[in-house]
Amino acid sequence: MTVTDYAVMAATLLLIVGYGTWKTRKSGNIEGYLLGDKQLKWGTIGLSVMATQASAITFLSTPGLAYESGMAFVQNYLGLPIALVVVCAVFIPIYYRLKVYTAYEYLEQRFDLKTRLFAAFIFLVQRGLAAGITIYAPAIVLSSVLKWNLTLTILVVGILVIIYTVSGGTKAVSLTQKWQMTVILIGMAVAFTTVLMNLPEQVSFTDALGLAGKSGKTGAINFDFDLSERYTFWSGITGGFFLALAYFGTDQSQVQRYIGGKSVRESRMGLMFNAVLKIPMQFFILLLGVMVFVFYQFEPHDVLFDTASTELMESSGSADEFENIRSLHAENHALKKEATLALHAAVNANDPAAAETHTLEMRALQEEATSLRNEAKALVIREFPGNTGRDSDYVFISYVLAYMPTGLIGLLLAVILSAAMSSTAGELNALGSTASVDFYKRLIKPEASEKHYVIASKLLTAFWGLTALGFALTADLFENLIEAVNILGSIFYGTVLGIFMTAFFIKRAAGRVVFISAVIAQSAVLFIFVFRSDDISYLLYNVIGCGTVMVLSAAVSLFSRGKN
Amino acid sequence: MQPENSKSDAPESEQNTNWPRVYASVFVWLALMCLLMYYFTRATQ
Repeated sequence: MTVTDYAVMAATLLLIVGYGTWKTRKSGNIEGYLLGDKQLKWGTIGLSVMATQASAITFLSTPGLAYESGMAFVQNYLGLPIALVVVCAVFIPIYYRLKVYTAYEYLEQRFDLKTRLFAAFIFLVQRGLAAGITIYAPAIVLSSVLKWNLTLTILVVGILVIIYTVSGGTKAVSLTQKWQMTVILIGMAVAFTTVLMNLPEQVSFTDALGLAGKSGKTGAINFDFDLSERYTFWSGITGGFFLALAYFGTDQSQVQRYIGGKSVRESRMGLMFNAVLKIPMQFFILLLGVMVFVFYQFEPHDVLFDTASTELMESSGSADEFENIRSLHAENHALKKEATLALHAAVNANDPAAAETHTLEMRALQEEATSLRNEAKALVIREFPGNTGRDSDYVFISYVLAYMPTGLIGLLLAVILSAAMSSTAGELNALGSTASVDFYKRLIKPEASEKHYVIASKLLTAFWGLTALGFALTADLFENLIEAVNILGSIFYGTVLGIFMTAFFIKRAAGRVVFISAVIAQSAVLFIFVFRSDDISYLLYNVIGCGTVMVLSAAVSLFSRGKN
Repeated sequence: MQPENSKSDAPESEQNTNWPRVYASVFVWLALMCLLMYYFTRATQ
């Protein structure tokens, strides 16, 4: 990385943050601080919603995921547009009518205080930990690849986010997110173009697609009805729908992005913007990963993309074994390149028989390459048990650093850091609001001045910022905890969504019934997670959690009605 | 903590937006995306 790259990166990040902080320096009242004075337009809302969802790990991991497993992950987003239509049609009008600051306020108006606090508490715990990971996950990758100090990387990103989130509240978060997302979209488009330009001269974009397809990387849609298959059309459209409905409809980090809209129309248009663009965006990020895969069929690379792990292995007790895998991988690459070129020539010469032979040959060599990579990863984990072995996270960043022109490297790093900052800011802003509105204002100090609540919200946002920062700084001590936090989301989301859906659609359901149904549903999901996690995709946890709460609440309400 | 001057009341532009049609367009868009991705999968394999 050159000085130019550092300059591009620092200028992009600081200009956006500085602009956002300066533009929103006067947030006098609580509505201004928590809802951005209800002046946000749909473009800002749309980009802000997108920026909150897309964390840095989205841009680091997704291309790597496509490199390893192809494009099936895009199906995860198929339920999203439908969920956003439901949020627009059902959730938004209610939130506006009740003039709530947080989604959980609605639950007290509809049911009772304990249901509101239950949902708000789950949000605080889950998001509080997740915010730490949002900073930590990209920092560990960047610090490892760029030889940056991990603690310093976390501190710089975290403190910058805390400063503008605390100072300007929702308006600062939305304004900065708008520009951060713009930079992200431009950066990813530039990256895609650069990957295509870096392909060998004789390989066109359509040739590359054909080679990727023959390597089994372009399977975007799978209509097979298989519950154990992680991503299919069916799990995406049902599980993805419930996941997106829970996230956009009930997670305060998203709800806060759109309830600050100038009108119901602006909020709805902001979400419709995401309904239309999210799938194409994910498709292109995955396609970018697939193109990187094709690029590496012609360009040699080390068995692992994670250079830090490779260096550690070189001086470890298993250095000889690792070196052996590396040389086998290098030999495999040379043969694979020959087979790929032969396949390319056969396809261009319109020779199906030869194409078939070379496809089989190339696939066999790819399988061998995958197993060599898996062997290397397993060796790293064996030697260094703290290592996650997630080499796919390093695929895209190592490509960027090795093959992107000067200046663009800085831009791409600004993209990754912008994504980390924008999603963390959305989370901290929502954590501060929930802690101040649902707990401080509701339980501790119900009557106080506007100024008092603004100060309280700022302090609570800072508190959550520091908590997340503390978690990020110590996260390397708890590798398993990180995975647990990610799973936590899918375990609890379904139940919280079930409570909201019951509130909206089952008019007769009372607070006590819903609370007990939620406890039963949560126990059922936990049982499945502990005993049946291999048989049932995690996307279906949301369906089960939500469905159980709704069915039980409806049944008990109907039964008690009949009894009465 | 109710906002004093909430702008949630539907302005004129709200009444001009045909939301059922917007939602229907999103469904059509989703179907089109699925179809395109299906053909993409078929054509490249």
